[in-house]
Amino acid sequence: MKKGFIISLTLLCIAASNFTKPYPNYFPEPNYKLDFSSKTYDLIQLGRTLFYDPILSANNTISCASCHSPYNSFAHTDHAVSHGIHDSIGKRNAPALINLAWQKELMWDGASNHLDVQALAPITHPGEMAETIEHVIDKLQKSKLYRSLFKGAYGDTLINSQKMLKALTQFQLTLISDDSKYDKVRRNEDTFSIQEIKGYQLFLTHCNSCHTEPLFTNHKFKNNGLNIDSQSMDLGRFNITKIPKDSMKFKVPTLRNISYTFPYMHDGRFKKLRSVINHYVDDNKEYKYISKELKQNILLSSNEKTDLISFLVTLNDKNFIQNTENKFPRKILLQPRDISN
Amino acid sequence: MMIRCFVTLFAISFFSSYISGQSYIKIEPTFESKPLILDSTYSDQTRITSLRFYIGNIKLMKDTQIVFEQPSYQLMDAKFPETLKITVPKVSFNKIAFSLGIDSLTNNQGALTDDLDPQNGMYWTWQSGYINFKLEGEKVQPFTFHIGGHLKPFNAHRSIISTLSCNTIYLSIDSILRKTLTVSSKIMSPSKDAMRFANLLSTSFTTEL
Repeated sequence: MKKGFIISLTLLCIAASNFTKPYPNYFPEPNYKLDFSSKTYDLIQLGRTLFYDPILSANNTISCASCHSPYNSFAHTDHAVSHGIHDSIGKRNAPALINLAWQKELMWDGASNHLDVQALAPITHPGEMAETIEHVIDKLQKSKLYRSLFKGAYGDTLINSQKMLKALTQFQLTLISDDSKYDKVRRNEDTFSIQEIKGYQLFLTHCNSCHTEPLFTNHKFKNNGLNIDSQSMDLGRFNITKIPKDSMKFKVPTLRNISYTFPYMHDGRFKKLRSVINHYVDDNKEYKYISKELKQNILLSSNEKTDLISFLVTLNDKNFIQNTENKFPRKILLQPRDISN
Repeated sequence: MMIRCFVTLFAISFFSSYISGQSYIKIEPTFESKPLILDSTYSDQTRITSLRFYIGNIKLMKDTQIVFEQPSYQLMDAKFPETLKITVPKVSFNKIAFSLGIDSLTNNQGALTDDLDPQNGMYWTWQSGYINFKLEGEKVQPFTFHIGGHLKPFNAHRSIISTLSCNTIYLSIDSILRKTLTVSSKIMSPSKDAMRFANLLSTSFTTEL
């Protein structure tokens, strides 16, 4: 009797701990503490409001969502590289902001070492939001709306950069995409078609060493043989480490929500998924510093490419794209308010 | 009159710090063996417009024994002399250890506040990391030194140990510039040059003028 009670109590505890985890049990441990309980609700809503509010830019025209659209898995579809303030053209393709809790370094070259401080880069970049942190804080302090949102989130009306940045972090940590067909198959809620199974096998053989499941990235920096973009002369990871062998290394992006995030690569040079696959199959690459996984070309027939694509699109998470919880906070941002410069 | 006033003030401040059990260590930037004055043009045409740096992890020692330690960072700004003082308890010590710049662990902790607020202008926004030491000015041509970096092989954080006879540590800015301006006038990212500058800085703190 006693034993039975202990067993059921243990089971209950396991069930409860699984219940509180906001991600599937086949995901690894995240690098950030995830707490999406009622305690952090107001903080997440503050972060969400900041994310969608152009108040973060110098002339109040550009928000985070300008380049990280929720309809595109928080990437910038149909733009090879992103656009910023006064229609400036950037250097890189805005990456999808999903499953960030598992990333150690952010941005294509790993320039940011923590989600909190990542936001400083776009806010202050002259071609993105062109704002200063002091001025953003000043604008927020003068806003009645934000004084009340910060009070709700932190218990007092003091607004500083740490509180603003941590709120943005909390919102971005909620952007977990884990409900694709692939996920449903892993949870035995769905099954792959024969073509998808073939594609999955090809994926495991040729792609999984870098685009490692279940997050579909190993979070490492790799040189995949792209030749340097003659306009941007972007050397990727080398810009951060200054180590010659890091030249042209970029972070392996996740393949989740792949259909929503075209074009592909750090500079958005490939519009179609098939062009990406062709890049790995053809031999017109820069081989000098190419990663060891790609020293030999991947051999795929035309049919196999189609099979592979049929698997890759099972990584699209429509429920995530349609989730209204992470979209523009109408109720908060569409109320009349005072933005003063 | 002036002198008497100064002596009285000194006595009062000495007395009050004695009563409260507090004392301070002062970092004194110097130029031509005198306290540095910002925006003044020196005889060799040098003018310093900005000098800011982080000092932290203070340890006071009596011989080999640690008598006080404070694992936090203070932003020092030559423009505001009170920031150049570190408050310490009134204890007997003859050695001090401190670090110049922010250690790698702190550099990876996300958004921090107060002296470590990125709003202070001592944080690189395009690449995570604090600027440990900022020196700007001109000598015929403008010069800009933003020294920082926490990733190997360009970790610019330095630990310094010094024997103390009084509570002031001097940092000779003219000597740093003499040794640097012949090589470069602009360092603004973690690099070999920044490492060389950090090494030079770590040997530039002296206890005598």
